[in-house]
Amino acid sequence: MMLSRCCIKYVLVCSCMFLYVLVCSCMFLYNFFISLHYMKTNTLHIKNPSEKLLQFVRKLAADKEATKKELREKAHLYFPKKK
Amino acid sequence: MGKNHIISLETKEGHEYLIKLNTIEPSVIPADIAVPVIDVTIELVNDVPVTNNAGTLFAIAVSIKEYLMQNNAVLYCYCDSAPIQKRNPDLLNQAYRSLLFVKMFEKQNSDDFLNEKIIIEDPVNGNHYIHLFAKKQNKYAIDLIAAELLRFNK
Repeated sequence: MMLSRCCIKYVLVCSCMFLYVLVCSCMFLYNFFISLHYMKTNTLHIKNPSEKLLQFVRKLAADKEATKKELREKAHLYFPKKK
Repeated sequence: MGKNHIISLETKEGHEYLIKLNTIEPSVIPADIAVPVIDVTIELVNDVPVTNNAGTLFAIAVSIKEYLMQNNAVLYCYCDSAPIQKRNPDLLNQAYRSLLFVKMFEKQNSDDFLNEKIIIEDPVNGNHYIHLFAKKQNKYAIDLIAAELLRFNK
């Protein structure tokens, strides 16, 4: 009698653990496939750009640097020094 | 350049960021694009010894996503080469920023948006990395901008 109760408990504990592992695996696989399905990054790679295109993107780089400098100069307006 | 919008963001660690969203003058973008193209600049404006973490990246992504949810636009981000703390020292600064942009938007787990990464090789100044983000409905605008860059390449 005692032995059969122990066996039932053992089977129940094993079943619960199995179910827990199964649920965790399903959640992992669900998240994995969802992340695959969601937003993908497409890439356009230009390997031998023309001089015209290079000049254009170099200007973009210079513009970006100027904007960043401007933001650093304006920082005190958005983050007043804490006392 | 046209209308400006600046978002300020302060992290728990004390990093202060300014995110500038600047509408690009319609005359410089392909005429068929009916939505505004917004230049996004993210700048850390203070010195904090604590290294940035995923939380910061997530907060920036949320701010930009909110803007994109409220405004029908295409976001343009040029990844600059200014020094940045990075785990892989072999990676160019601009390549690392590009990687952060990809991670940032993938973390949002949204299938409503598109991310187009454009790499232009530059043997003198190092490669250029550009990202275009938009809602799926504005895929045509991303395609037109990419086509314009390819036209420049002729």
